[in-house]
Amino acid sequence: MVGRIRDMRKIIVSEFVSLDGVVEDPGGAEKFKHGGWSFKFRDDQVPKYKLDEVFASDGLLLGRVTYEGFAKAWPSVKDDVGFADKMNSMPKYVVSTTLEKLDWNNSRLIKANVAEEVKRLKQQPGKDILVYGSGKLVNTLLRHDLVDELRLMVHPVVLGSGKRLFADPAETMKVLKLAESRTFPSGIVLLSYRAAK
Amino acid sequence: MHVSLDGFVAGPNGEIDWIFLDDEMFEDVHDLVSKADTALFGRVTYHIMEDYWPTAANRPGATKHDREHSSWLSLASKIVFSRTLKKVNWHYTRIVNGRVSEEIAELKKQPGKNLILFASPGLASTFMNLNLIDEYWFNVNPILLGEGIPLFKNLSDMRTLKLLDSKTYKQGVVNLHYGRTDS
Repeated sequence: MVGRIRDMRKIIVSEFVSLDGVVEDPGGAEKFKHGGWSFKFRDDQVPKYKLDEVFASDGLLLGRVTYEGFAKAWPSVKDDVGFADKMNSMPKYVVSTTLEKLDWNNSRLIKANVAEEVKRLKQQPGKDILVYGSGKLVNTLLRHDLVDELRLMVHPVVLGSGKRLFADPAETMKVLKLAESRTFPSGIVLLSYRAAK
Repeated sequence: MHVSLDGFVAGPNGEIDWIFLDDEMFEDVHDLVSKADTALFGRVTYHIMEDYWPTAANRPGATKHDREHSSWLSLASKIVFSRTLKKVNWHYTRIVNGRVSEEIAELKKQPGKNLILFASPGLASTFMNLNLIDEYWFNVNPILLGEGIPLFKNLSDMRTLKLLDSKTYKQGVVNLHYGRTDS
């Protein structure tokens, strides 16, 4: 790679989403009435995809609610493939105005100027930065055109209630460019988008 | 149904000018409707259809799709589910007030082709709550509207579907085709 100009790190938003756009509590850590809904759909290809995804990145950018769920669950998770180790060891950037102290390993706080801080992160050397969950943060990132890729794992379920990913009215319509679509044996469809140029 | 990536079927004032359309999609719609002989609508969608389609084939610049779809709709049995509508101007159209489950059960017993519910998000949610839908065709458009009329509202409970098929169109629209899980 000598002589090649380094690409900027990408911000990749990767979400488990229901067919009606709900992103609340797919893993069941947040006491939502349909919490854990993603576990109804299992196949061996989705975990492989998620494993490749997490190993292609070296940072997690999270909002408070998602951080708190993850920080409670992940430290005690063990697996053979290294997913939990990666989650626990990689740097976490947590956006919150109320949290004072972060207990999860390798976490640091972003208290203000989110857009500026995220731009700074993108300029640092490293692999891509993943955003999981974090609905409110995702809307902030979208408003500031800071999302390089939006990956939706659309689950074949209509929940009818719960927090939706795109909750904040956008200031203007945003057209995206479909980068990839792919179906998994469980009926989950990956829809991957980039900002339209 | 055409739906934005953030789950809206129309803008806040009913705008549908953001929908991506292409000829391949029209061919697929043609295939779909050729297996059906009945069109189901809610009141709002019905009015939009009644204003547009009866004359669409005769307009200057009418496309092949305009002619084909106009002809299919003209001959199809049309049913509008409404508690307020009193009168319709399109032929082969009737109004059904309430008794949705009973009406659909009756229609499904009769010989004939499939029944298609077009757009009509309120009615689609009612159908979903009553477990009347056998297959779903969603065209997911690569756009975030931010606000508008949601695809589903007032659903009584969660419902799991079965992915039957998916397809990507040129401009980045993804068609998701689902069926029932219990069939």
